Amino acid sequence: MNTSQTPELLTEIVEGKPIPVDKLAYFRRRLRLQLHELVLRTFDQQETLTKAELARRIGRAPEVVNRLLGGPGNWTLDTVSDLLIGMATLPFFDTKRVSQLLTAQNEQIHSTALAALSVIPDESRQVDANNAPTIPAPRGMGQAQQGGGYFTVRP
Amino acid sequence: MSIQDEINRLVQEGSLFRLDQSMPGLAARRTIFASIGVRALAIGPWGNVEERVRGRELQADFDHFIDGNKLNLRSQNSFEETAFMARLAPPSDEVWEIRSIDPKPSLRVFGSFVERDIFVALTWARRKDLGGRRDPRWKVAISNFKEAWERNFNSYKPMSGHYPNEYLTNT
Repeated sequence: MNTSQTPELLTEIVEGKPIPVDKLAYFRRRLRLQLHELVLRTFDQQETLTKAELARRIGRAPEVVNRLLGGPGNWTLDTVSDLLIGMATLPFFDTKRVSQLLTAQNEQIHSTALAALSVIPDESRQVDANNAPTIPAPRGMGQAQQGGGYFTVRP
Repeated sequence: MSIQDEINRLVQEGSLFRLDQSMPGLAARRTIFASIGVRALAIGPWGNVEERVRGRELQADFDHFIDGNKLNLRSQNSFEETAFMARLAPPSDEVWEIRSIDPKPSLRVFGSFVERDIFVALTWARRKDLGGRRDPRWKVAISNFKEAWERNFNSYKPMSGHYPNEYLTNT
């Protein structure tokens, strides 16, 4: 692969070298933030579920659920699972190869790469590379407001 | 002249930096302009491994903002500890903080909005150096930010609007 355009953050990952501890820290933090955003988005999509009801469903105190939804600071994988299952959403994830992401970048199909980052195929995000992408916005948001993400979950 | 012209001038002279999205293939839906000090905190050069790791984590927080992801803002008049961003009191000062809470040391990056989704970050502090909510060191930190703002932007004021939707999309 031509790595001349490889972002500094991905250099060792692409070259198969030991990944420095600071870069591992970066991706851990990104994962935590992305999972938090995913949980917040899922909660916003609930028609009637309140934080108190979510707390009751997963056996936590309401103030604890309030804090967990506030930020991902002390989350564990179990926290993510409990919160999503409490919202009747299966926490099944898939991954995306860095090489695919870089290929998309090198082809300069910026918006196509954005759509491809949803790792479980989602027909609503499929993009025809020959046409401008159509990325439906979540309820209540314009397209420009939608965040790029690494994950989708199965409802 | 406008505040946008001022930003362009500061970027050209190298005293303000537009932070790019670190990951390829992601659209930048928001913008952060950072002072030399804030940029160095997140992008380096760093003095040791601890600074390097903490800087990368802050860089991840900045990228999360730039991505346009949904942000948890602290409600006005609340003291929620886990929010990603907050507008500090008094609201009329228009001083905001990005709260890079974990891991320790928790960091606070101070800035103001010039337009919706365009944040100018000029100063920062370690949370432990600010003390409790009523500690005078908070006022010093806010005052330091306001001085930095005036140094850079003279008479131009930060944007002011309805909290939070006029400042940020996707909150």
